[in-house]
Amino acid sequence: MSMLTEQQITFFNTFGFIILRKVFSDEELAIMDDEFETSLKTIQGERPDNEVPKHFNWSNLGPETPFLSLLPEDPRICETAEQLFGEHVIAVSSNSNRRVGNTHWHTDQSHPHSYGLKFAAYLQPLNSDNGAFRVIPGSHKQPFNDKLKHIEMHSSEITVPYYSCDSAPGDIVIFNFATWHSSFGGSTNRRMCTIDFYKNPETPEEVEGTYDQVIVDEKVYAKLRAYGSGFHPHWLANPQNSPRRQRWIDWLRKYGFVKSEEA
Amino acid sequence: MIAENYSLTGKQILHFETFGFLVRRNVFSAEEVAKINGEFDRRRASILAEIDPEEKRTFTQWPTRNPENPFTASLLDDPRIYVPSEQLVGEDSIPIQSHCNSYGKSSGWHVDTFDRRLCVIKNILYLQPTTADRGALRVIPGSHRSPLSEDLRNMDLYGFHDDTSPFLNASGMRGEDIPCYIFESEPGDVITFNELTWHAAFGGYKDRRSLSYNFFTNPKADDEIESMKKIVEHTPANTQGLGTVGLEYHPNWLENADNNPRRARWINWLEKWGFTDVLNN
Repeated sequence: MSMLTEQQITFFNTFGFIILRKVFSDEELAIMDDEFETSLKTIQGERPDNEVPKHFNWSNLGPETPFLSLLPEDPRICETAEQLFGEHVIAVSSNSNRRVGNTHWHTDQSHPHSYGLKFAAYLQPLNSDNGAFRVIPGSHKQPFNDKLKHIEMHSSEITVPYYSCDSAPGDIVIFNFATWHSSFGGSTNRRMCTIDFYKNPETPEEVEGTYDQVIVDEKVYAKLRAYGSGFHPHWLANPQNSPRRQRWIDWLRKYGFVKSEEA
Repeated sequence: MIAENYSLTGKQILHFETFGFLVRRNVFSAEEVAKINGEFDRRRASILAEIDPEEKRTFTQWPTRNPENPFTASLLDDPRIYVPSEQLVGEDSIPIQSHCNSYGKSSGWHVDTFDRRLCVIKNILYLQPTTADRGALRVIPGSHRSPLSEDLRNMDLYGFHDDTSPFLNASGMRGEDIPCYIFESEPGDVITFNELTWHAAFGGYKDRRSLSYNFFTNPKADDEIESMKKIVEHTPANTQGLGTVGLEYHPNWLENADNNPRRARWINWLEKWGFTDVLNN
């Protein structure tokens, strides 16, 4: 059974994002909260003076977060990704993120021919005033996407027109990496779990973009990652012999997202 | 006396070109808005008494260029309207239509034109406070340009009333669920948008009020001239369809008693293209 209707796919392709409501049950949310909290405490305990940076994340692919580590393979997630970006999409990360305050306007696309989508599950109720995901609808497509680079988003003369993806725990916001987004008014403890998928490259430009993404990911995670690698040996061992996960692992190794020492 | 220069900044023009609209706050004072609303009250009452005493219409529109609403008519010659408009569509642009609008309900997602050959903008002043659930104009940023413009058309979003949008009917979504910028406003604010930009307003109510002043590019290239000819040809039917009450260009306005050179240029142009004929007959 398809996860998304034809109209939902059209919506995503047109606006560059979609909100899916009540994807996770209350029971599942309780587990997610618990795994998030346990990881956060572990990280805080390992840092000097329990100091926690403003923005940081950690991988959910280890055995200490069993529910979150399996989310990329949850049919509600991976089959939706396959509907949007083709059956050969690859799950490249599953992270928890703790953020403080504002995240200014940006896209997650690092190369013009690198395509991906992000699933974001916010663990607190959010609206426009307290950190909800803000999006400029349709900004994932050219030439609109490039034109926005020339707008001074921070100027007092400019009011950036946006749509606020108000959400409740259990909802998921899915967005194209190229879509311009931000978040303002967030608390000092904004929590979300994210799962990223990359489109399988089909052209020489897309292959180049994928190799470029390896370098970008290393830089980004060097800055944001609280600890550890993105790919825990337990996840890479694929103990359930999931064919889908094995395809992802092989692809991640081929392009260099997984280094040989991690295997 | 209006002494200031009401020019848009480069950033404002870039905003308009990028997003297809521009918001200016507090352009008109509370006193001016009260004067406009007073004229609006009187004119609407006389029109309803004449043509719609039972108030069955869901939309009543009449031209601003009428001596019965002198202050409202004067806004076309006000630099707060024409200076930014000329910056956006050309110094020789022309205000072909300017209207007082009294709506009776919401407006679904639509554009005012699909013709890309001529740039047309509309300046709108809402005469009551607007909020998301009470008549605020909604615009989809960037939807005046390809590919978003065509994507919205191809997804069958168009429907002046929600129940006529095939996409909304098929998806079970409401017009309010379409992601957009919501122009929540106070009387005195002005929004200017490209007529290609997709827009809507929900939470409509009886006598939701606005003034609209549109400016057209003066056509020069062959395709622009061709487009303007089509507009002249279709304008009478469109105006009749909207039920616009009264002459678009009142003789008093055409007389141009103050010899305003800008108005003289507009009148010459409107006569040359035949608008004074098709909209005043």
